[in-house]
Amino acid sequence: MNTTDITDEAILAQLRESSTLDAGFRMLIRKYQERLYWQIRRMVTNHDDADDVLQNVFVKIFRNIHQFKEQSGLFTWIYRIATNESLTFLEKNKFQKNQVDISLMSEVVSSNSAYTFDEGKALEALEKAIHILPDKQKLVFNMRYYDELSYQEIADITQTSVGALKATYHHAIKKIEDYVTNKVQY
Amino acid sequence: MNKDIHEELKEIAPVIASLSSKPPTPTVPEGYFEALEAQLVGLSRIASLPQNQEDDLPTAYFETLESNVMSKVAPQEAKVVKMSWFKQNRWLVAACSILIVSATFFTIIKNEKPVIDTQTSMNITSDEAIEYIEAQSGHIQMNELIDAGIIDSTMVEELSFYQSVPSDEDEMMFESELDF
Repeated sequence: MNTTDITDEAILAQLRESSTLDAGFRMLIRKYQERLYWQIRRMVTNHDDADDVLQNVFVKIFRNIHQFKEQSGLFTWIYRIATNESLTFLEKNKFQKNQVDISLMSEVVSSNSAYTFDEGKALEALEKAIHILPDKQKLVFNMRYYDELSYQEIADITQTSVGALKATYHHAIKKIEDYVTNKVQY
Repeated sequence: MNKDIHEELKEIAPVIASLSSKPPTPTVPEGYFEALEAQLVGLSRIASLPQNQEDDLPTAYFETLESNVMSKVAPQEAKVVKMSWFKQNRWLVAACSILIVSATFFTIIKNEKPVIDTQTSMNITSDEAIEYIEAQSGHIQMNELIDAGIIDSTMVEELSFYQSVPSDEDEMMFESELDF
């Protein structure tokens, strides 16, 4: 069975019965492991860190699935856990991240290559620009740009208002645009 | 890309919107997701075991833990055990007992041989001594008096002599006998 064929309702039905709990977890893992991995990886950048955070996310899901009241979708609930775990990880490793940010910034400032619109270079700059963003702006940008979630879905996951999210996204995208433009114009 | 999202992007960030693709996906170790599934299934079994010990904890367990521990660790008011007067003062009682027994013993020993003030006795005149002896002669042995230093042997001889001297009545009887 393709992971896209597995519905959240089917997973929840399996998880409700203790006899099918194991099968339910298997379905949940199959459906969400890659999506959650990439969501986390885009936040923490490093594979090993992403792996650690992902495992913590799944442990929390397994332990708290009986508390899931289905007031939101399973997807929203799982993404919320992954988001919180990622932000917690970044908060704990702030010093390390700042060191990386400084090195990236200095690299951009010292760049004086001649202007040619090189898409590869632009994509590289885009990646670096996302990395430099503040954590919450990066989170919202990733959800909108990579995961292509609606503002309402992001609002449900992050438990903030749509208006605040739009403002956050606009701030983030403007910073990235300026960074990339600056990078590819020299 | 979703059409709405792309339109929005074109308005705010035309350079990014013009990119034909998104940044390349970072690499992951080969076979990572296959191994991950097995690893997560194992985690789910461990996590769903009755490891929910937190759920089994009594309400507000950690909030009350500190005070509960402190109440057991903190020095409690010592339990007062009432000791008998004898236990509290047993050494004093022992010392007093020894003292009393010793005093009694020495008193008894002392009383067994009455002290006779020989000096005073020696100031007694011979007549007084003789008078006393006359009165007590039925009870006192001469040897005891000599041993006690009340009288000496010369006095005994004198007393013997005196006792041997006939009284007036004796003399009169003697004379009458003579007259006989």
